[in-house]
Amino acid sequence: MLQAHLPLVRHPEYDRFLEERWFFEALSETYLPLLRELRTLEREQVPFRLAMSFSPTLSFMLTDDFLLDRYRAHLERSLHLAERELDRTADSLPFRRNVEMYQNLLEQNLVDLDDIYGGNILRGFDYFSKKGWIEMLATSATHAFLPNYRNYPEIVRAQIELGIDQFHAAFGTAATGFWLPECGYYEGLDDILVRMGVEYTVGASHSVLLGSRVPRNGLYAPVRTRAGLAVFPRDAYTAQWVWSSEHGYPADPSYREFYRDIGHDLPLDYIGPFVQDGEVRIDTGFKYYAITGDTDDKMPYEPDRARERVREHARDFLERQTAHTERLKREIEAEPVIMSPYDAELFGHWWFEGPQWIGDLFRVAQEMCENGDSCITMTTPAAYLRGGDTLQVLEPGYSSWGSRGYGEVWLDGSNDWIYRHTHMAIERMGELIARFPSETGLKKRALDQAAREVLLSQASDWPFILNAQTVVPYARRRIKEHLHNFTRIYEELSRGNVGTEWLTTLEKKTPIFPNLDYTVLRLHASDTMRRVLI
Amino acid sequence: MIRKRLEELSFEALLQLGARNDLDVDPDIEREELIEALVDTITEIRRERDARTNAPGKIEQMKFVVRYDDVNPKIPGPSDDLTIPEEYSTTRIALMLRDPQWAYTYWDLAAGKRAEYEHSDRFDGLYLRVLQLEDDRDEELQISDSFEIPVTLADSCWYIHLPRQNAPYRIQLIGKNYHRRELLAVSNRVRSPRISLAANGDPLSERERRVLALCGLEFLDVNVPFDAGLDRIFRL
Repeated sequence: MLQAHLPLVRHPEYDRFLEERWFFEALSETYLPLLRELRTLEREQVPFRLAMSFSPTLSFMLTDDFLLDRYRAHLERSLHLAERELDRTADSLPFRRNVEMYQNLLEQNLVDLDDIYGGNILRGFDYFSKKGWIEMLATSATHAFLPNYRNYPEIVRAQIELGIDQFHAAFGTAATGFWLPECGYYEGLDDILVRMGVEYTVGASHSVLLGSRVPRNGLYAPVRTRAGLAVFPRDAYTAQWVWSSEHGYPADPSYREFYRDIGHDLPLDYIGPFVQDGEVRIDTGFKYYAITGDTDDKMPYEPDRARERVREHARDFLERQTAHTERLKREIEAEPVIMSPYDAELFGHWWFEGPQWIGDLFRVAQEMCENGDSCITMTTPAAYLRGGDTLQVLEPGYSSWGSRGYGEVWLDGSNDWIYRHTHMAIERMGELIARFPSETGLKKRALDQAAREVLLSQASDWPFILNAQTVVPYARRRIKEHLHNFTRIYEELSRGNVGTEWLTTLEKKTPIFPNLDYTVLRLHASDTMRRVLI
Repeated sequence: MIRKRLEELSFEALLQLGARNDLDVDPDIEREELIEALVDTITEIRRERDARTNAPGKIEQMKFVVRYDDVNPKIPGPSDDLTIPEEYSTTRIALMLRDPQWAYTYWDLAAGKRAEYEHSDRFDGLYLRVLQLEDDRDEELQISDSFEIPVTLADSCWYIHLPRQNAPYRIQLIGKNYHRRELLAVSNRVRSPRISLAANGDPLSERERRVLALCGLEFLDVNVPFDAGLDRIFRL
């Protein structure tokens, strides 16, 4: 299972904006290469089954003409850099081969985006979804870490409802599965999901392991909550084999080194036009070295050698799974189910060869099956549930796939200040809805934008970044910007004086959820903390 | 690579980096010495960051890397000039779960109440009364245990250690004024999560132990009750 997500980053007020590159890089290195790999599998008649989710913010960006135009310009600039690099590396064959590889990938990306998908790559995933080879899941509207909003069930409901609506708009079908951002779960969330028509989700290992009773099949069978939600627990082993940056497959010395980029290695007077403002070194995407080992003296990257390792790693993964399955079969009552969820962006962006590895998983699985070596069935959650196995009834506990299994990534000294404000914004939004229950015209536009700002302030990405201490100024700015915008609308509505020009600017800057109706955030008095008896 | 990137920065940029990383820099420091100190500091920051991040977290971080902020003194992009309210003039207290041992509470005091306390010569502080409850479904507060944490008017948040796993908690915000205890607000209720297997205290069966031993517990921060015998399985 792959979950694809990026927060909404869109800055028309700037000619070029650094953090928009998160989206460009994910498109270039993950989503488009993954689609190419899936098309290759189709041509080779290799059966595959994947489950995937695209967050509503990412889905929006993938269909946003403004960002896609910027992406095309980004590709053109990168192709220009490729031409210069071909000249520069003319006398160094290993590096020149790498430049040619990047040039080819960039050209393919341009062609794929416009000629194959008509500027909307979701069509590519939808194509495989309609064939039944990819099972799509919905996820929450702005990738909120829902346990931190559990005191506001109507907000949680709105995050889920909007996510499901957005899914329907993108794929024209109803979602039966729902990806919980960061696998964030808490007791009672199942009730809300089931009421929204969700049949299953994926839980962190802790969710089931430390649930209301000992899971009789460990992490190798879904369980069902009393509300009726099926929860597939995440397998700890497959997570470790693939995710671990020290011991996982992506750390193999043959694979491409992520950190060595010509944006940092070459003199500024040469690379200046391709980095930020001509002087701030950033990744260009041109990386010519293999991981090699724990040394700064890296070997040139050799794609053919890496390709061989990809295949070996796919085989290793399946053989380990087979051996583990055999052990499990001796102990558990049902056929073991191994749920392996990953961030989609791991494959391609961080692990350059990742999309090939996904393809090889299916190729090698087919070969192993045909050779009679072993036969692991690749399936998806809904397909498994259709088999009708009786699931153990168990109430999963509060959990996430974050560090140590709970909520410390999204609630610690670096980011705890957020919640006083995001919670207050929710309460004030409830107050606005109570005062303006059915507005039209300018007031409705202001209220809809207020709701948009409340939802965007809840993205889990910002507390995550504050915790990781990476692009802290930007994350802090984004939270404050949404809260500031909300507060200004709240105050202007209170004064009965909404600024049309400013509101229009905001709407143009964040045109996500164009059909959002602010009343979706309606709070019931019983849901707010203020009802608590004193 | 850290050293290589630092070496191409100007001395002024190195000083900026030092300031950003809270490096105590001698005004007469030599360039080489400064680079050395920065290499050590940045390496340590990265090591700490890695140590508290699990594999999914590390990968998620990579989505947001387009530059190396910790060796880059120039941060382009929008300035941090937006303001949000520092406090809200309402009296409330909220309780959020962080993990099985810790919860986070934040509170606000209405401006009138704050002013009253600030101007009272008999004000004896604010207290957080942490209530461990009997049942988390009952609206009534049936308290099985409690303890108090003194806080000041300048405080507005606190991390609370939760003594028991799988137990419901609430927090009361209490003001002491003129020898009277005023109940100002009560938080929402949370139930501390489990951290141990076999939550009901029953011993694990032999089969359960064998199954759990195949679940990769070594990668998960899960308390394994040794009296349940899992330690023997791990030794095997």
